[in-house]
Amino acid sequence: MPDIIEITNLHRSYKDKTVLQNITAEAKQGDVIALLGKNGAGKTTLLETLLGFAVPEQGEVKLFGTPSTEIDAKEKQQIGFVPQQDELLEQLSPSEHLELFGRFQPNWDQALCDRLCHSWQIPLTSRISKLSVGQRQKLAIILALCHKPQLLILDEPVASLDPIARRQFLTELVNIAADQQTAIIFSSHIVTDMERVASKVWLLKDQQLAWQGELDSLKESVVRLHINGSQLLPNPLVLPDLLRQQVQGRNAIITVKNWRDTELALLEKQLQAKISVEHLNLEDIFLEMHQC
Amino acid sequence: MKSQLSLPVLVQLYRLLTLRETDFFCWLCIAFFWLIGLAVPTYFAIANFFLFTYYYLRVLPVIGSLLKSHYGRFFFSPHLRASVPTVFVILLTLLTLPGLMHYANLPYVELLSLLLCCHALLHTIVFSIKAEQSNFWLVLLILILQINPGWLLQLAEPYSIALLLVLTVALLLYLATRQINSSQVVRNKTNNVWRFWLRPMPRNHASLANSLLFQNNAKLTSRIVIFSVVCFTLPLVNSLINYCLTRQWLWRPDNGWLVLDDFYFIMPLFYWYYFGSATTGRLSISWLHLPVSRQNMFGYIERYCLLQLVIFSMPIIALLYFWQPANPNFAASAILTLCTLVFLTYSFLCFFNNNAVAVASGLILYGSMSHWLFLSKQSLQLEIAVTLVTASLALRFIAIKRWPKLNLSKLSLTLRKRHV
Repeated sequence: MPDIIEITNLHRSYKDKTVLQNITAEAKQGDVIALLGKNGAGKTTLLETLLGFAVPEQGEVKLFGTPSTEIDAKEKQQIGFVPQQDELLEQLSPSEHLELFGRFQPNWDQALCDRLCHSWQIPLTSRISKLSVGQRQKLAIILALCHKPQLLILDEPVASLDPIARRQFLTELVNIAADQQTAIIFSSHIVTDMERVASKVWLLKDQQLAWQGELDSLKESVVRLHINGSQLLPNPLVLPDLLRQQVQGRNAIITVKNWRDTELALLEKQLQAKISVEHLNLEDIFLEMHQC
Repeated sequence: MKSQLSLPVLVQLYRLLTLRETDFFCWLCIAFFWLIGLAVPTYFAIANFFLFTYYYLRVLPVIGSLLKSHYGRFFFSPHLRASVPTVFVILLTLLTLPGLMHYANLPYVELLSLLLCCHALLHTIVFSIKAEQSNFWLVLLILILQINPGWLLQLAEPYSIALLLVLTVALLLYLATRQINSSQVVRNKTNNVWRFWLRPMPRNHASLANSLLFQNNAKLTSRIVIFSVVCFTLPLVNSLINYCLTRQWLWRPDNGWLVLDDFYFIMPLFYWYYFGSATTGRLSISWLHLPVSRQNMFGYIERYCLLQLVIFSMPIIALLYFWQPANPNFAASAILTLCTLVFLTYSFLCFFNNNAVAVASGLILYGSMSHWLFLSKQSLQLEIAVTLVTASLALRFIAIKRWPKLNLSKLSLTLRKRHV
């Protein structure tokens, strides 16, 4: 069975500005991938290219083994997408909208739909144009979830949700990934949320994927070292894979990537210092990698 | 997978026969000739000619591909799929019998068995052989049936009737088992630039994309009402103002207000501009719901735009007549008006992300249109129409080359900027 997403040497640019460069990645069933990056890093461009909204200048994107620009009804029915800005039919009521979509989706789960509408308190009879931004976002999420897609792509899905709805949404996401083995890719600036549910991370930096892999591996790989030397430390320290350093006399705090615990003894001996290792959370890693 | 369509069988059969948007009108046309045939039997022959060519070359291949597809197997029960060929063979036999009786001088029983066998054979050809290979045999058999059906009977002599009936039963049994065991066929993807005719597209499959594209339902009646309102608002306002001033209702008041009179066509033109720009602008929203790939997207959108144009042309032609009832070159003017709209439609499709070009061409066209329509020379109007059609074909060719590389996300941004 082919991977749900296969990206090979993807290159995208707007006019003369390169947005994505040499991106190669893949997503399998059950993967929950957090897509991280600064504003304008190309997250939305990557997601839109994945879904066939745009044609790559170079490279290839395949969904379910089919190039993303050639997907037709069969593949599209297996995709759930929540765009940054919802694209609902404003003249309909939520119940009409759900019914319309449900009628065209063979795998529509009416029980799940009813449950989510109830727990998220969607006003089913009002016109969509009269709903609040948060309610519209919830409706867009329900529409993307209830046909049990094999691939779920969410672009800033929780931006307009209150903390309770956010928590409910994340719970649903985890359940869906576990029950249906759906591949999920979502971008968000609320990194703590992503850390709670993601199993993998794609980190976009300088138009490239600076990191792609398991979240746990990333957390083990990027660490902050607190160095307490027996003599003055060289300033700056010259070490491989150094992300950031702050040296003051005999003390230093440095952040490194591609860290292995076996290197600790060697580094202590080299610097003649006592070193303690601090593991970071995803938000700190993100900030460190962007040298903030 | 369980069938979820619990509609009465007759409704399902009716839906199968009217899968494409234009099917209803085509059946209406056939019914028209068939009914006239009751009074003047020669018309049965015309009805037969249309029925044979239209049903076997256009309708049945669509039904076949739907029944074999993922959707067909989902929507229709195995029983229904198995019985569809038999039901349609009987229906077609009954419909074509009067016509054949009129021009083939054969006994009733022989003719009936011959027709049953021929229709079963034609169904088998459509359902079993690929379209490219089956068309030749279909046309050949239809021609023989039209020209000299007796020749087929001579082939089966001396056991003609028995042989034909046995063959019919065998073919129908084969079709029934084939329908039950059919697997999904690979969709025939064609990118033929010059393929104009409507391609198979189950109607209910397209409705969701339609709603997303046009932001309204695709019901024929509602479209006609909307288009009529767009075309006749200004003439009605003109009459209403005249009534308020003179207390006399006139459908074409001659109050000397050339401003209103000259602008009869501007509202339809602007509405058509709105329709075109909204459709192309909403492409990104509906991309994930369009039941086609990028390669076939142009054909899909073109088909819907042209279908809307066909509906739109009715009130437009009525407005043209209303505007100048005594126009001696009405036919040429009508052709010119429609060609103008076709050109405008293709300019939208070609310059989808640069509507300024489309608007500019529309305004130039409008500026010239009132002048053209006043032209007394019919030949000149037709020449302009031909030029517009040629230009439309060129635009279509360019559009087809551009569409597979279309950046839908950019369109989406343009739309948001405009509406938010």
